[in-house]
Amino acid sequence: MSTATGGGVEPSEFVLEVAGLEVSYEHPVLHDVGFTLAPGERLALVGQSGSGKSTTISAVLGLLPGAGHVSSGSVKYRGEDLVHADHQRLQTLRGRSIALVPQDPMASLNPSMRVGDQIADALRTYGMSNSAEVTRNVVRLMTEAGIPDAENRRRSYPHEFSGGMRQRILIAIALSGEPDLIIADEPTSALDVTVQKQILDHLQKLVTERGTSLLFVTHDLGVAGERTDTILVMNEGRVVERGTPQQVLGNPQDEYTKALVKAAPSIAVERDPQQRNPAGAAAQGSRESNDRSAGGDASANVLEVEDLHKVYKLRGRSKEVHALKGVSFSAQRGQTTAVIGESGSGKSTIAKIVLGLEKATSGTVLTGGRNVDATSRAERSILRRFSQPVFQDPFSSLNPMWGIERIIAEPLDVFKVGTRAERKDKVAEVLDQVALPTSMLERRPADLSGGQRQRVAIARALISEPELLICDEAVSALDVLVQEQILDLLRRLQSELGVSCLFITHDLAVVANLADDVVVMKNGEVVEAGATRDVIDRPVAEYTQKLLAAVPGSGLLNA
Amino acid sequence: MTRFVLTKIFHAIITFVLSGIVIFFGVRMLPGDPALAMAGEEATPERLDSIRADLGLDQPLLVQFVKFLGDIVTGDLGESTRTGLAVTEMIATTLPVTLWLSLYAIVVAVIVGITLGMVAERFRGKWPELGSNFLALLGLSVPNFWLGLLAILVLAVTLGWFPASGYVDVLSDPIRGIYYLTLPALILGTSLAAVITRQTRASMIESMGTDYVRMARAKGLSRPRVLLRYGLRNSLIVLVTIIGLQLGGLISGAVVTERIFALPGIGKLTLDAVFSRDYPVIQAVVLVITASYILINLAVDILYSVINPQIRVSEDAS
Repeated sequence: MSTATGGGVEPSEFVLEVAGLEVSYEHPVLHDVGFTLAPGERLALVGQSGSGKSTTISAVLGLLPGAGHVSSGSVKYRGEDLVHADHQRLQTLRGRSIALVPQDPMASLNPSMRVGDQIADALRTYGMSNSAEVTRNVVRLMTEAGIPDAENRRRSYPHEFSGGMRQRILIAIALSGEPDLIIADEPTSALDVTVQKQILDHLQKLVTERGTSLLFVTHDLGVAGERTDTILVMNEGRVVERGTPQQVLGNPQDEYTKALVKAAPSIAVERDPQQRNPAGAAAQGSRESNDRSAGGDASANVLEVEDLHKVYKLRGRSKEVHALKGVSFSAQRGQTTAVIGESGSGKSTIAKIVLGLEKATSGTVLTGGRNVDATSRAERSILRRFSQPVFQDPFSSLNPMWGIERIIAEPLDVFKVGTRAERKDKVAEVLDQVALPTSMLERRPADLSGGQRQRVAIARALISEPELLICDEAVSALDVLVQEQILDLLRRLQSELGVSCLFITHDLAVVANLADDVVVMKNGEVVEAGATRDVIDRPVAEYTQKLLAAVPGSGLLNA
Repeated sequence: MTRFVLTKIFHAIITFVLSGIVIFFGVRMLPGDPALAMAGEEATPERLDSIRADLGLDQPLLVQFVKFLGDIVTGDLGESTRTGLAVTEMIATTLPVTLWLSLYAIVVAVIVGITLGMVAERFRGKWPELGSNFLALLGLSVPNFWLGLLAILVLAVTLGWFPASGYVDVLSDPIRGIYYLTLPALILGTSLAAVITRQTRASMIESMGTDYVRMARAKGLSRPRVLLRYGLRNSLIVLVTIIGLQLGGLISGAVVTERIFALPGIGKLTLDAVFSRDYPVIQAVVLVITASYILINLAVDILYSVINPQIRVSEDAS
């Protein structure tokens, strides 16, 4: 299936040749993109969302959405022109010659079809008709992709698999046509870091064994550097830099690439001492005195969590889920404390309990010395004002029907603070604090970028002057450069306002950049806690060591 | 799965018993006296009393209710106070008419609606979509009786393609039976078809834009296969719910349609019974309609779980 050349086409030494590619909707969005991919070569397209990397691969696959079209340039597969190929020809090439491993494993499988059937669907399209043979190959492909008990699991539906397992199924589908080019579109960005490593290792192994070429699309320079031969950096629809990982990461030439390399959160980057501020220094001092007084002064802690348990009962069944199993830690005033763990570790449950959105099964949580389990309305109001949340997804945590001004001012209405004019002033003030122009006030969330929305979410959290910000994966939905800006903002706010921050994340690199202390969680338990630098430099728990090892590109960026 | 179905059936039975109670007391709260309706304005009090005794209406309400429940269980729904015929027999002759009509209307609506909806999705922004949208709007906004009269005038009287009224038993003469029901079924199915058109278009636009459809195309699957197995199949989840909810409207629509086309269905029976305070018939008819409602919803629930495996699992877990 690998030599699917059309009639009269000169065979090419390259599997894929893209030259002078321009893709337009109403206006051109890609400009003069060109690269080649030799058999067995691994090429990374790196860039932020909107940089044109996804458009490039859609153009290669002939799957540009809506009015998108190739307005000039060429895409050649083994010398055969794909831009002018007819529908039928592209359909034949897809899967058999050029296969896709898509970005979001949660959304890329048909939810109403058994996974085995979805692989079989592909096999039948590629000409396999004997149903016993199809079944045999489905089991083989699933097993090769690393799914245990494939014989039974092929009858399961997508929702019965974890994200990592779904991505393995999609990899099985991609391999089913024995293609000689696999396009992997951010295949692991939706997965936990340790799962991410397993999947990428596995994909790499399969690709290497088969000598398949790999076009790897990612926003993560670390991942790109570790796993490919060539890196292409894209920005605003253009290729701005290309070279080996060592060249691009070690000695970037283009300004944008330099910014990307610098912004790439790495655990090697120490928190810049200059960004430490009087308030932070004071907090540092108080921590030292705290250490000396062994056990500590309670007033130095903005948050104290003591032997916290949370049990979820599944409705109508005796089965219980222990989300938290006796968690204890404290967070110091004016500092950032990170809670890190994978999905299912219980870290978001802590956030919900601290915010009073859920009740603990047992144990106590004190914020500013007050028990969050308060019953009276007045007490609850005080607690709500004390801690305010910033959530992960800035696209869904802002009411799309409201203007920005109303969104930001809402807490003041809820807590009945100030007059109309005072509220207006206060909104302008927090807007200034999060570095957004006042012209934003008239707009709606849909008009804003992800980073701007997250600034709005932070402004909303700040307006009631809380002492504790609870950031639940507050930057993980953002691009790396925007992520860096938001982290800068949080650092600055902490120094200016002295607000404490409980930062919940799965991303060790972000923790290394931001947090003073870190609490590592796994399966509802704290496995390690301490000052961030200590935990990263001298991890004690085996799990922490595993997490550190899984951070992509740590070695490369250190070097 | 079995557990899921059993739970649903159990729920259906409880719903049925509760609606039985509501029906019994509801009918008795209607103004008017069946004895008076039977005997006429001139009747003597003695005559009225004897009629009431015959019908069991002189008994305390609770006693009547217990008898009513017993009758349901034994399948004896009493006799019509108006015609003296057994109610079960009256329903047995009229119910099939309504069932055939409704079934025919559903089939027409589903075929027309899904086709128009898919055409609209396939040709977004072009004239077929506009046409489909226009037809759907028309189907929703033109009332049934007006459309029915128009159809009789044009298709039956002027063109003579269809009979203007009448009914032929579908089982004994399927071809003529279906022929006679075609016009009423088209009229009855119009608004349902319009709703299905709109819903199909919306769901197809949504599901064709999903990542799994893009993935299916990247697999190299043929267009029809992507459209049916990946697009339509997931749109059906929403469609089945919508259709299930609309079936109730279909039954009340049948009352009007049966009147226009003079079909001897359950709609006509209901109207006649209400006008003459024919308690046993009203009770029985409402009971039968309720039962079919409950059965339809049960079927929709089960069908829904077949199409959407996620429902099955989460319901099983609860």
